[in-house]
Amino acid sequence: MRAAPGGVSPVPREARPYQGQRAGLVTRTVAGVVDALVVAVALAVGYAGWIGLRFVLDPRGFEFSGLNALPGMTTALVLCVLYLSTAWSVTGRTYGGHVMGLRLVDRRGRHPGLFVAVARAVLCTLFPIGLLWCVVGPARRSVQDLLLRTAVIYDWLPEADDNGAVPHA
Amino acid sequence: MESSSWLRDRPAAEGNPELVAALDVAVEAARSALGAAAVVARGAGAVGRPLLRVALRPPMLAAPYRPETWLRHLARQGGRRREEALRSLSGLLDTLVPLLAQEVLRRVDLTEVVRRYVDLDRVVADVDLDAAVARVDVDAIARHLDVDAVVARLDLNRIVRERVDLDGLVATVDLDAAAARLDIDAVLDRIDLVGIAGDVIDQLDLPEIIRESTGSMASDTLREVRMQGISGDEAITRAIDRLRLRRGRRPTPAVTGASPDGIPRQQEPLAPRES
Repeated sequence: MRAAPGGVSPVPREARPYQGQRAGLVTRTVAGVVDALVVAVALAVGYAGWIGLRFVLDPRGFEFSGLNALPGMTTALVLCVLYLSTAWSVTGRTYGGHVMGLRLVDRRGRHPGLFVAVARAVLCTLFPIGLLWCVVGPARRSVQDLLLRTAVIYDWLPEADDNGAVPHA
Repeated sequence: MESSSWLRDRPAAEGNPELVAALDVAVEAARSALGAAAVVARGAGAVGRPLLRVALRPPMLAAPYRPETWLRHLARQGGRRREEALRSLSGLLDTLVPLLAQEVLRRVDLTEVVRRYVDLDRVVADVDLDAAVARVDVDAIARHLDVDAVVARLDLNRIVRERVDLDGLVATVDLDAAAARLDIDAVLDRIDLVGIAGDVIDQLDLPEIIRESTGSMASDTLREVRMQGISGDEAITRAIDRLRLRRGRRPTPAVTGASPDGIPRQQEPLAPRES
């Protein structure tokens, strides 16, 4: 559901003043936690599927083994990077961003490109504490935003237009 | 006595009764003298009439020499003189009367005389006003009227409101035929339907209705979570600003009100500043 130019906005009246403004620490942290849960659930489901596949392929030789720390952590980080980069480059928002009404945009106000999305996903995965810079830094920009010239804005509208432009940018 | 009664009615005689009495005496004496003279004349006529006839027609004289003939001749000449005198007098009156009348009327307030002595109501009552009005050319009078000035002094709205049966008048109008001649498209072109619809939708809070009916947007719980997050962001920003004591620094991108589509635009460019 899009708001046509000069038409009706589906955004609640009390939230309209904030649309297009840069998001702060609380909202982005909640979105990040949601995304972490998504990755954790995906990782758990993937691990369960891997265990189940091994059991189906070799029931007699199946032996339940715990998740090793290094491969597990590596898999989690890779999965997190893939999830974040895919979501940001395709729709501009992750599931956590969708829940909290956030969208990632580049310096032109559009969905970030694949390179920027991957780079930001890597930075966020390896250095999540950089988010705190949006509290002390100028204009609510995290370290990742400063490095890649991106911004996280409030955007309660479900989708961007076909060119990837968000309505508030 | 008629003369004295008339005199007594005059205002000047009211304060002089002796004058009235003297006048009465004179009138009565004159009347008595005239009566006596008449009696004497009647007696003298009875005696002198045969003598006069003989004197005028003596038997021994021929007709041309009789006194009667001379008297008749004198009478004819006297008649001619009288007619000439009358003609002269008539011409003199024609000259003098207008002058006299003009001088008299100039000295008399004729209007006051008419008002005092003429009963105008009786005079007017005898006038045939219908016949008089029938001879008036009303159209010629109406042509000289300034109808616009007359209409300007009238309160036509009040007259129509109080005296015209508008309901009855409208009932005689074929509104369907009138409506059929209307150019609805031209009327609609002059109406800002989009603006009106926008105002109505804004009053109805259509987004809320859409959300409640379709559920395509965030649920109430999700909206509440988002608003709480925004409030938390604002609170942290204000707290950090107070700690820094940075006056004049805008803690968050300013919100200056809704844009035409109800959604404000970001006030700062999204491109990060060079730092």
